[in-house]
Amino acid sequence: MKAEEILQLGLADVARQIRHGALTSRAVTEAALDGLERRGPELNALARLHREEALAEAEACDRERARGSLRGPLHGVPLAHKDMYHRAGRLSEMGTRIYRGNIAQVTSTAVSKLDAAGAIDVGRLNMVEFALGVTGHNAHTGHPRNAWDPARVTGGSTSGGATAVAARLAFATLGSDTGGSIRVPASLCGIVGIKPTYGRVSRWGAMPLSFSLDHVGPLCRSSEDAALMLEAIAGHDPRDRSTSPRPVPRYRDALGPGLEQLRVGVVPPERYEFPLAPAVEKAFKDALDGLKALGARVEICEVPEFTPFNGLRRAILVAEIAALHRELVRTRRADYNQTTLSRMLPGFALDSADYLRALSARGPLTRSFCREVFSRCDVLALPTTPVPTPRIDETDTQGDSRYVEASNQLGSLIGPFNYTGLPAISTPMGFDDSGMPLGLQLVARPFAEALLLRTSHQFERATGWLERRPPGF
Amino acid sequence: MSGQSGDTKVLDIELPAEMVEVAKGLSRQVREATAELAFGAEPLDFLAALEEEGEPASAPGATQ
Repeated sequence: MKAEEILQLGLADVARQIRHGALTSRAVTEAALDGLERRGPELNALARLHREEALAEAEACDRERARGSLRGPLHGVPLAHKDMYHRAGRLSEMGTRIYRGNIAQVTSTAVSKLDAAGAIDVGRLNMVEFALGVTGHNAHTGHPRNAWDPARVTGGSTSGGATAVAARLAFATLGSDTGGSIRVPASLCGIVGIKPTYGRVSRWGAMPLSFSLDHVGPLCRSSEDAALMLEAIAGHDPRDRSTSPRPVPRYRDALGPGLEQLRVGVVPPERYEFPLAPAVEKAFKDALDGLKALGARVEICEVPEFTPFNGLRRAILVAEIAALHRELVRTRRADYNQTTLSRMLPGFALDSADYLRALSARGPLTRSFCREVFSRCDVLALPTTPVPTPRIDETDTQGDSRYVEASNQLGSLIGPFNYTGLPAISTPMGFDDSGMPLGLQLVARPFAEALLLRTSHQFERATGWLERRPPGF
Repeated sequence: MSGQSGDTKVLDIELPAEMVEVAKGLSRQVREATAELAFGAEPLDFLAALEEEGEPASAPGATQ
């Protein structure tokens, strides 16, 4: 098989072919390295590759397989991740010149778990500075470019990862989601991204942004691939005390059953903080028709207003960022991107009592949200973003109020589920008139990732949106 | 973004007036959103809420 053909395979497919000996890990890893090296720069997706180490590891995987030994379900599969997933002894620059040349001291749990599943770590992908921003801009690394239209943003903060997966330069990648950083780029780049329940995946050894809101999860080309990744990285970690002791489901086994009798609740438009753009509204209506055609019962579901949840999330976010960045802002302020500072600085002026009120209200508000909503539906459906993908130039405003407004708008349907910690997935639901993908967001009760993956998997099979590829890739 | 009239300094960090206004707006939103809540919960109650409201671990096809 030619390298170009290998790169078109999905994660589950390529893992299967390596496992069965139809492809060698060496051939797949070489194809992934060459693809990222050749085309990663045109999308500003690539931070760095570890070619020699990756190829040596791939050859070791091939030798082990020849002896009949497999490391795990991702045996020999090359993956590249957001440049905030530390691996001891390797560069980890977190999208900022402040940490240029920084060598990681530890290996993050998510990366260790992927190692244990047999994946090969080939390098790191660009991201928004300190993962703070949903548009994808980063003046330090160059703005990553959307594979569907290089003049448009990728969404962020998993910017390089999302566009690399969309462009078939990576089979899957680790993202992080504090206020949309998995779901927004997945939506804008036409791929699948799942933010698991808070506590489902360990954050240990990944760069923290806001410890109360950070979630680790994968971005992939299908829900089947996401199930494979999530199964590999989920689970209790004594080094991250927020992780749940619950056993990890076999997500791949739960994809099969259809959606008959599934109760899908639709968030009434008046609950949104910003109105839906006409293209999003139309694609969303078509997506609901698609779910109905699969046998789901689709009904309006009264939910609490989103605006207060977004305010509570933003208060926690800026306060915790201020706590983490106080010394750096004091000593290296001129080295931050303006876009980062514009999101960060309000945290230094926030009243500590308000931060604690926002934090303390999470338990009661999450309970009441779950009881009110999930007594009436199994899955909540809404668009991932209320607007289509903006152009880079129209949102590259050096962090002024237009940038903040665009960011708040892009993340407005996302934030409530970081505050409540509920699992949420974004999967493609169509394209706008400019040919840019639009995302459908599905949300469920805590730890119901299997249900989300099943719903999106069935939707993907029925609609075929994932079969489209970005032009030229 | 700094050095303008109306800027304030907090913890040795110069804050433009508009950033202070954003923080005030967030404080107002927090107070409104939490005004009706009876307190007594502490932040870790959130993890308990997720476990209590979560999918039963024995849901069909869900766990190994």
